[in-house]
Amino acid sequence: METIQHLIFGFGVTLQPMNLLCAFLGALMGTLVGVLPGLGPVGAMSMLLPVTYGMSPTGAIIMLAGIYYGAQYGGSTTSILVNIPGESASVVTCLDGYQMARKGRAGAALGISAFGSFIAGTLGVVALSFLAPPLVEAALSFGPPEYFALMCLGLTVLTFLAHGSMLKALIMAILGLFVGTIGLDITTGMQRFTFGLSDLMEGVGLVQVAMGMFGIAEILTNIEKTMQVTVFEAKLTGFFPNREDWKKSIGAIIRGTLVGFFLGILPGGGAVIASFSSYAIEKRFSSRPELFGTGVIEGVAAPESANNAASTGCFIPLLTLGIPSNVVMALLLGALMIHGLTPGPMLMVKKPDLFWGVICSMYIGNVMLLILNLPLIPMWVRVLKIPYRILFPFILLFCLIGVYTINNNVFDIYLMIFFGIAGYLMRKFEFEAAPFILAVVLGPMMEKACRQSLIMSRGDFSIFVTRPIPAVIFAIAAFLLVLPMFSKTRQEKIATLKDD
Amino acid sequence: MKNADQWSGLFLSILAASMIWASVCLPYGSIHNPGPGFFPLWLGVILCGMSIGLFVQTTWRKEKERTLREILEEDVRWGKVLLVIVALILYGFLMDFIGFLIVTFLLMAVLLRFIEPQPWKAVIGWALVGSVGSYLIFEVWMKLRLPKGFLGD
Repeated sequence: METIQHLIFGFGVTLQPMNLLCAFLGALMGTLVGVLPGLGPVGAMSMLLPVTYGMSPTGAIIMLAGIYYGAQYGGSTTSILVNIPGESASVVTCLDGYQMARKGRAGAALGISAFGSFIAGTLGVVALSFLAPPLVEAALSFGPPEYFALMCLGLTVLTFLAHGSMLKALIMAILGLFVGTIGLDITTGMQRFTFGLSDLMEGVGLVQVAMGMFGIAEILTNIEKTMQVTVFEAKLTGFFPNREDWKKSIGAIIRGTLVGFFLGILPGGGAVIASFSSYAIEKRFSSRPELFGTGVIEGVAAPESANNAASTGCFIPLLTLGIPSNVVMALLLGALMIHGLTPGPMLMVKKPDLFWGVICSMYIGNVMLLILNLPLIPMWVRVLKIPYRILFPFILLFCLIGVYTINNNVFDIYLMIFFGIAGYLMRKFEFEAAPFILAVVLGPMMEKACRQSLIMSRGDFSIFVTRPIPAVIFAIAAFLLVLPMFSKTRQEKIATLKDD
Repeated sequence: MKNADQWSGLFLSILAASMIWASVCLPYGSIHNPGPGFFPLWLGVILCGMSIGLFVQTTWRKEKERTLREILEEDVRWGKVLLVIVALILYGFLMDFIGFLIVTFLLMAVLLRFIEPQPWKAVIGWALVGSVGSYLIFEVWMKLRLPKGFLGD
């Protein structure tokens, strides 16, 4: 019952005109970046982070969250109409969505993905609002060893789920942790690895890294080949799926929601892995798996529901523990800290307006997105026709302005370019950026937790295995680390995903 | 040494070695009370082990891997990639001297004209939209301070 009261309070916060506007702007911009290929939610959120400085913390987080779940809606549009995923969580939607469009059923595909997203997003938010308070209770009893273990698990899961070599993903995570140590030492105030540059004393900022590796590197990769995008000229009529479609997809939507939500909560999980997994599961449980990839509606409904449910589930570790489970949540964590808030279990207690306001804004945001998406699809299609050769200078410009205005410091531009080049080379050599970026954020938190734990235990490492929660968490992490060496499951998993 | 991953392993081992060296220069503290050098040193050691592991793993593996030469000789327009990087660096370098409006106009014009060549009319038009538009949004509307260069003050 208490939760209901909190929700009523939260809706009061969300329905303030300014916050409502933030939710609307976030959802709209999210859909836009979801539609535009080559600009994902990470890039867009880091570009807009400086813009939120002048806003209230609640408004800022509401808007940034809106961009994330909005992008999940928008991403499906490009997957279905042009076979180009607007962002990576919509990659699998291409498989059946585009085939449906070619059969003249683009409207139904877009419709079911919007409705599926809406149902999943809403159910996800309901679960979030009821699960968060008990988790906060539990988290309040966590000490440094528990936090250290959880962060280790988060990084391990992310590397486990990475494409290709797990070793290479782990290397990226360790490098990221190292970059996180640059700057003033938290306890002694000593300069570390700053090369005497005062610009590096505050450490390497997350936005500079994220914009470099996701914004700049993406553009460098795109311009290296001649750019050609052709929009499929489908006649768009009838966004409402018929009775037959609903019958086929309702189960897929429910399963997608469950899979997505739980993979979203998981440290290291998120929308991308959720959409892949739910597609694989749907195919396995289907009575007609051979038809997947030829334009079956379940193949659109399941991943589109899963990625929305996951993007809601992700908020649980961030809002309750203060631990970001993926790069997007890391950016939100950064945003909270910029506004002087410490994410963690105390957030719900100290800033209930922010906590419940953000959760309730997601209910409203989902309604807005449904209304926004269906009638506006023709407009989004027109946006898609903006040629990339005109678009990319603008994306670069927004990255430059965004990174400059963080501190009004040109050094940040150079830092972003540096990480852009690094990210570009990493793509060439098949290293993933996501574990690196998450590690940059977690680095200082992990180091603090590790050092505090050792002080607590007077230098005894067994503190990480004698306390029950860290012991279990480390056991899971160790299992994930060892698993790929002894079995072929991971390779098989990757192989099936690639075949799919 | 043909394999791309071997080169990565080698490069990362050297990087890890320098990380270890830099961390050794910081106070290690003790295990009871770890100092500033404690965490980075162990990260360096782990990274070093992993990079050597990567090198060894790819050397022993039988399957054909991507070679460095393949990456370099891919059908990639290296010139254009380099041009964008140089343009971005120059942007940062010139911003404080000649001011946001002019430098943004120049950057947009270069990107529009030389990556996927557009007709000059479109170049000038879009560059004006980009520079004046972003100036109006960020400086005038959002009141973020952008450098004025020699035009200002």
